[in-house]
This record gives sequence, C-alpha cells and structure tokens, in this order.
Amino acid sequence: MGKLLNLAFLQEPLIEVNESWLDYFIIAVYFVFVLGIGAVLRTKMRTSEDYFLSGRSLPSWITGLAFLGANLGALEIMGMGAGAATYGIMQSHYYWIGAIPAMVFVALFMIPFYYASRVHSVPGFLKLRYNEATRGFNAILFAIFMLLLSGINMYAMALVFQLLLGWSLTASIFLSAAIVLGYVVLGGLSSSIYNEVLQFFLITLGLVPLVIFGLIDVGGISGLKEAIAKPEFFHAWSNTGTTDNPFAVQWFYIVFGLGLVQSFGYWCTDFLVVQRALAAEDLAAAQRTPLIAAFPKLLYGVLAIFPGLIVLAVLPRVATEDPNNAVPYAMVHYFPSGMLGFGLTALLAAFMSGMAGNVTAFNTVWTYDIYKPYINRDASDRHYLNMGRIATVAGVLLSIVTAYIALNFTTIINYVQVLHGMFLAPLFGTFLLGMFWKRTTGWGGFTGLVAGTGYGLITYLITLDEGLGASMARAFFAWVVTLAVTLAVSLVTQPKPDDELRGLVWGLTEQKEAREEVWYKKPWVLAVTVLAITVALNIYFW
Amino acid sequence: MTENQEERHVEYGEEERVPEHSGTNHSMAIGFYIAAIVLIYGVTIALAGLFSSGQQINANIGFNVNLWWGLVMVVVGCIILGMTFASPRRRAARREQQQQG
Repeated sequence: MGKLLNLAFLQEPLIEVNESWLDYFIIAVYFVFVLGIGAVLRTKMRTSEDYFLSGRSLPSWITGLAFLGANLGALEIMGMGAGAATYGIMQSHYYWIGAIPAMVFVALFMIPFYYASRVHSVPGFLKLRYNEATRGFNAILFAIFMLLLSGINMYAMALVFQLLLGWSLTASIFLSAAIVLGYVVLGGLSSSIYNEVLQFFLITLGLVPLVIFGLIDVGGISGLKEAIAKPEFFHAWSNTGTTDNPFAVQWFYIVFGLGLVQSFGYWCTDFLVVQRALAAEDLAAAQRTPLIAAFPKLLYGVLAIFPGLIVLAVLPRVATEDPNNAVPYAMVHYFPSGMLGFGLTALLAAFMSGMAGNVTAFNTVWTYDIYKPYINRDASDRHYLNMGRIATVAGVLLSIVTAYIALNFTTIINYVQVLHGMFLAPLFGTFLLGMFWKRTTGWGGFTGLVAGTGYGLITYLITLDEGLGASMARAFFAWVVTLAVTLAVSLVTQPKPDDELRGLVWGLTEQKEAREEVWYKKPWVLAVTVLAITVALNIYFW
Repeated sequence: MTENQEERHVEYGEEERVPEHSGTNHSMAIGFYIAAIVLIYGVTIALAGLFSSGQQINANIGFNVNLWWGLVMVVVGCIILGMTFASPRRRAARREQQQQG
C-alpha cells in the first residue's frame, strides 16, 4: 500500500514520506465536508447578519473556539514551529506575553466598546473618526498587507503539497493557487464560523499527539534538553538582561515592542478575529469570547513551540536547513499513514482558509475602499461585483509573487514580524489615540499614521534587519513616532465637535454593563485565572 | 444620532447589524458538523490502526499511534455531540429560572 517517495527537489532528501491512499482519502473527506457545508449554508444564509455573525445566537464556547480558529494560520503553526527550531523556547513570548494580555484587554475594554459603538471595520472607523485621507491611506496599506500575508499562506500550503506529492515548489504553488481559487468560487467562505471552529479542533487534534509522541520519543523535557544541548534554548527570560540570547533583544523590547505594541495592535484591530466575538448571543457572552479563547491560546504556547524543538532534537538537519517545514516534517516522522493524512489536512485547512480570508479581505478593500471612491465612483452594482471577482483572481496571482518574497526570509515568523512592525504598530497608535482622546484631529491622525509607517518602512529598508528583536524595536519606535506626531499635529489643528464623535470615542459612547450571574463566567474571574497561568508558565520556563 | 451620521453609518458595511436573519439554529448545526467530521476521522484512523500494524517507520513510540489517537478522537467527537445537545437545554433552563426569579 505505502509507497516511498523521495523528495526529488533536494539532492539528498531530508526525510522520506511514507503515505498511502488512506491519507488522500482523509484529505478528500475534508474537502467534501467544507464545500458541502458551504453549498448548504449558501441557500440558508440570506443576510450578511447570517454570514458574518451566524445570527448572533452562538454560545460563548463556540465563538471562543472560532475566535482562536480564525487566529490559527500558517504563521501560528508553521511559523512558530520554525521559530522554535531557530530560537528555542523564547518563541513562546509570541503566545504568552505576546497574546494573552492583549486578549484580556480586548475582552475587558474593547468588546463592550465595539458592541456599543459603530466600529466594525478599520477603514470605516478611520473615515468616521479621522478623515477621508486617513481612510484612503490605510486602505492602500491594508490591501498591500493582505497580499503580503496571503503569500505566506500560499507558501505554507505549497510546502505541504511539496512534501506530500514530491512536486517542485513552483508546481506546488500553482496547485495551491488553483485550489484556493476553487474554494473561494465554490463558496467555501460562506461557512466561515463553521470552518473556524472545525479548524480549531483539527489543528489541536493534530498537534497534541505530535507533542505527546515526540516527547515520549526523546525522553521527556529532560531528554529534549540533553539532545539539543543548547541551554539558552530553554530560557525564556533569564538571558534577556543583555542582548546575549537567541532573539538578540533585551526584555524591554519583548515587553513593550512585542507585548504591548505588536500584540495589542493585532488583537485590537484585526476584525477578522474580533468579529467572531460579536457573533455571540449577548454582551456577556461576547465579552467572554476572547477570554475563553485565551485558555487554548496558552496551550498553543506549548503545542506550536514543542514540535519545533523536537525536530531540532531528532532531525537537526531539517531544523537548520529548512526550519519552515519543521512541523510537517515532524508529522511525517512520527505519524503513520492515516494520522499523517489527518495532520496534513489540519495544516492545509488552516492555510487554505487563511489565504481565502486574506484574498477576500483584499478584494473587499480594493473594490469598496479604493476602486469605488477613487477610480470609478458611479458604476453599476454589477460592475463592482465583477471588479471584486477580478480582484480575487488578481489577488491569488499576486500572492504567488509575495510567496517568493516570503521565501527570502529565514523563517516565516521573521517575515510576518517585519510586516507587523510596519503596518500594525502605527495603526495601533492611530487607533488608540482616536478611541481614547477626543482631542485627536483628522489631520493629526493622518500625519501620525504616515509618519509611523514611513519610519517603519525606511528603517527596515536601510538596515534590512529581519531579526525578531529588530522587528520588536522597530514596531515600538514606529508606534512612538505615530503617537508623537499625532499628538503634536492634533494640538495645532481644529478638533472635531463632540457630536460627530459619539459612538467612536470611549468617553462619548454609552456602554451597557454586561450582567453575568454565574461566578465562573464572570469576566474578571476568567481574566485573573488566565493571567495567573501565564505568569506561572513564564516562571516555569524562566 | 443625527440623520447625516446615520447615513454614513449604513455606508460602512454595517448592514450586518440588521437584526433579521434566516432563523437557522447555527449553534446546533455547528456542533453536529464538527462532531460528524471528528467522528468520521476518529473511526477511520482507529480502524486503520486496528487492521494494519500501525507502527511508524521512523521512531518507536511503543504503542499503536493510529489506534489510540483514533479512539481519543472518537471520544472528543462524542463530547462535542454531548455539549451540542446539553448547551441549549441548559440555557433554556437558566432563562426560565431568571424569569421566575
């Protein structure tokens, strides 16, 4: 049954793949289910309320898992595994300090605000809060950002096909492009919440056995430490007093660059993720959503990091020559035919829906935030619909180009962090001031956003430093530049009247108090619990 | 809210706030969908483990990976199914209690 496949593209194969018809059967079952549910739901979902928010009727355990499922993409799985193989346990900062505090903040402060206000999309907020110029600038940046991100999902998907089918990377990239186009055209996105919850279960059920079996094989954590023989790879904080650690960065930038700017920027402004919370049945359930998601997110600090470390221990050549492939290689190494198909399905599912999400976001922003207002204002609905279709195809084709850009970076995570420092950090500054300081003016926001983005772009182009520490520092300073310029310009320009800011600025938006009787469902109980576990994990891996 | 603002408000894809929807019980449907696919995979993989040696080539972990993890997935599928059935009933009971209280 099993046939042995050598990876022809390498002179000396790093690993042999032993797959059978069973694995292809398992992958096929996934596509039948996803496209089937898409077809069924398309006839049932009549309004966009249905489409985006599933009728606002979901219990918080479902929205919580969908919230995390929407966040689990190529970056979270392949990227973190690759990072762990390159930098060791310090990579867990992207989960613990770099996600949990921001998720708690979103739950306690942002969700009630989003629920009460008119803020449901970034360009929409920027136009209402600032001005048309800010919206336009952000829309163009966002379209580019989506394409650059989509490229990684494309690349990650191609890596899995390359491994499975033994094709060249270019052929695998074109196959991935064809599959994503088919998925979007056949309505795979009409079931987004369904697929995100599914994705959460597939990825978790695929990664848990990988970590368990891997740790059994290497002899537990002590066996892992011995096999890797790099003590600095097992300390998250103790070497961060100086830059003599795998990230080459001091604790200040980990806490403020990553933990504050990059992480809060991502979780507060990524509406693909935040929208899941708004699908909950009531305000209390919406507020609980990011907190429920935070618990499995804690676990992912182990699930996504350890496969990278295990690969470093058992397949050191893979870890140094091809770190991006650490997780799929670990699956090939540990899973027999059957489990292998399941594990690869979980990866493909995450990358495919991630890329479809990026491409669709690109299509929407291009058509309604760039093409319609600036290029062709008065055309028929049909015209814009067709424009959207063209944008989808163009988006997939352009992602092929960006996939090759991503290839030039050490690991996927280095690439994403460079992008986040340029695109998200300044935006977070603009968002924060706009939301909490009503004196911020339209032109203040615009100049601040331009200055911060310009700072990030120029300093990156001068140094071309893709190190994770450099990205943290760059994000922090880009944010500071945005804040400083926005503040300065706001003080000399005319502020908007309070009337125009209702529903957009914190103090001017009436929020309802969420009522929750059951003690273990109270937001602060969940928040304190998850923060306490975070502290404990950081101490354990100190 | 002024009329002008209301207009701008509608302009920005916020039509998703329109209250009406198809009435599909998405919560039940999601639960069944996930449970079905996890159970199918669990049974398939467990059977694969049962009928083949199930040993991987590269490392010796000491037990049948397909069989054991397939069974774990069957259990997880049953738990999801159980939660799907239990959750609307519990919530209905709670709502009733609140009304009485």
